[in-house]
Amino acid sequence: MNKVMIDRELCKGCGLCVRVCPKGLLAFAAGFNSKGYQPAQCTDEAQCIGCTMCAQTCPDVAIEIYVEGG
Amino acid sequence: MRALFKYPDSLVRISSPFCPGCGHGIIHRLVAQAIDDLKIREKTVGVVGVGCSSQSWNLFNFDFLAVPHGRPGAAATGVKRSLPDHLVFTYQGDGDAYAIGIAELMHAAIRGENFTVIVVNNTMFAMTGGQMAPTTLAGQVTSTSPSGRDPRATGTPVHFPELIANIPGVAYSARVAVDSVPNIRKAGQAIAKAFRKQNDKAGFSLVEVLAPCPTGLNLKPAEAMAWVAEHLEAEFPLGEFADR
Amino acid sequence: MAFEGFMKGNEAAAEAAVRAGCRCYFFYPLTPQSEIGEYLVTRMPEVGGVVLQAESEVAAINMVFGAAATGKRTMTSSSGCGISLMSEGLSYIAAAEVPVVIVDVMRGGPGLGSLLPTQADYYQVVKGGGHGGYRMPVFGSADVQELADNVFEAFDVAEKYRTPVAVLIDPITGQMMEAVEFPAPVPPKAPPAWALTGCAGRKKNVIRTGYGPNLPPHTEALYQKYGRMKDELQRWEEHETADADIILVGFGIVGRILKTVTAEARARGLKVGLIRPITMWPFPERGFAAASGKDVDFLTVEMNDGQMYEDVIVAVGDRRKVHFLRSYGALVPKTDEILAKIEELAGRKRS
Repeated sequence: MNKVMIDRELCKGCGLCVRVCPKGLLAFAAGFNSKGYQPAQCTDEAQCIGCTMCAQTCPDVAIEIYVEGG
Repeated sequence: MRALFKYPDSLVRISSPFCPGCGHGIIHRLVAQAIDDLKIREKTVGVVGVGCSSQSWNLFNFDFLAVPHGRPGAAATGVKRSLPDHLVFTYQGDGDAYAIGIAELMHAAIRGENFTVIVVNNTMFAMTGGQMAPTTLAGQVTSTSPSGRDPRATGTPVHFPELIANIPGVAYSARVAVDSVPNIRKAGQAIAKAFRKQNDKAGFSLVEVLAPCPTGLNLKPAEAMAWVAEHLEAEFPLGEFADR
Repeated sequence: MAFEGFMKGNEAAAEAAVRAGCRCYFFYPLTPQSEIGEYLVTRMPEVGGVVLQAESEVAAINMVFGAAATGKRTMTSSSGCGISLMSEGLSYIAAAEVPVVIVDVMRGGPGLGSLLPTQADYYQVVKGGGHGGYRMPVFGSADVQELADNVFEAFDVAEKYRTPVAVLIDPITGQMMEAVEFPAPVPPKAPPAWALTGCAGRKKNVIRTGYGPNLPPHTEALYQKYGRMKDELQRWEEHETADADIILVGFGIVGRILKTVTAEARARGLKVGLIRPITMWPFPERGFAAASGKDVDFLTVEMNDGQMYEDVIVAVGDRRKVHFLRSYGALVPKTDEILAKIEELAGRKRS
């Protein structure tokens, strides 16, 4: 099971991760962070294949991907 | 838990000052990752000029020197000649590197200075409001080319990695892009290769990275990426132009 | 070990730097100081130092910035038009508080000017040719020995206050040969704590000069430092000032000439004295304090149209008491010219 950790405060809501996820699992969360950005979130972690494309394209390095029980 | 992707040690975990979707953020990560992989963070000195790039000293987690606009090519010469066994690199925008700083880079290449130059090419002087730069495309509208750049009056876009490719002192000259994940991975590989060549004392290395400036282009981040892929790659071919 | 010999000024400056532990020198050829680079391209490698001819003075001063930022004793040299090109770099170096020594062997100006001897760059070097209101200590050497001494000491001053330091001479002193002694060489020291050496075992060091809205605390710290330097670094030489009616003021080679003039004037029964500033910045205002309140006139002699003259007026505090004589045609002033002016002043005082 992969863990998709998106740092709400580092994220600037640019949407590049949303665009790039091959499973379409990322979307903008409700609400804003303290800087006024609408951060991204993973809508279904269980479907994540751990390709890390979201993390690779994130300009703020806001996304970290972990494998549980690795 | 095993990390498939985590924040690099060579970056400070703070919010960056870059605009949403800016190419700088991705490139900072690639540089930091390469330094982490070489395990050389504590023997690295970065040199930055002026532009959006000049904020990099705050994000990178190692010694840094911020010098006048265009001068990293000279300052890095001084740093590297004083510390020949340290990893020394410059981090410059296309304006800093190819307008005001082109003489310093040219001569560093001619001398075969053993440091690495990273140039972030977003075709404009972004920090100062998006003025025309040496890499602005013909017909591209900027704040100082409001009718679109006229090459008859202001020249054609500068292809610097190609220009220096035949200089014997240049060990590596390449152009990459961050407009897609496959290209991002190749960009990371090119940066890592340049750093390895520096460690091998092979000579001067330069990696130009095509990058989006959503604010300067007045496009949303995803649109800016698409613009780079469609328009910049057409003008500036990706590849390795020197590999000695 | 100590050394004495008969050397050209420029070469003596170069040797003094090496003996002070300077191990990095970047330069561009420009008459009348190219001998410094020509000397150091051979001498620097002998001590394992770094020497490189840059592609311009703009590049040279930034190479200096880079090397000095790593904590090595670093120097450059140039002349008028080259110092103009280095001015942006000097402003950055002053703002970054990085120690650097710069030797300026003046030439005729403005523009391409000439190789005639002048003191035309007092303003440029002393008042800060670069932007932003920085200050830097400036030594004005009067002969080859003093030049060697000033260059040797400049590195200590630069390091103590974390500042660029200039040594300013005219081209005659740079080109002529005189007897000179050097002390034993000082070995280079370990880099200071602020230097860029790689962050092993410590937090990262950043050397930068842009502070955005947070500028005032940094300029305030610089101004405090300038205040300390003004207090601690003033230096001058004086002769027969105690009972003088007229005090001559000149720096560099003119100061040297004025020693002869003072002796001549005294031989003629004129009560003449001399104050020779050795630091152009901070200007040795303290040297003028003893004469204040007395009916003393000052005659500033310079090979320009009156640059240090203005600093003398400020130091004296009364422009009616400060007079200026320049050597016409940018040539070295002759003792006869100066004595004639002294006689004229003395006559006016008597009447």
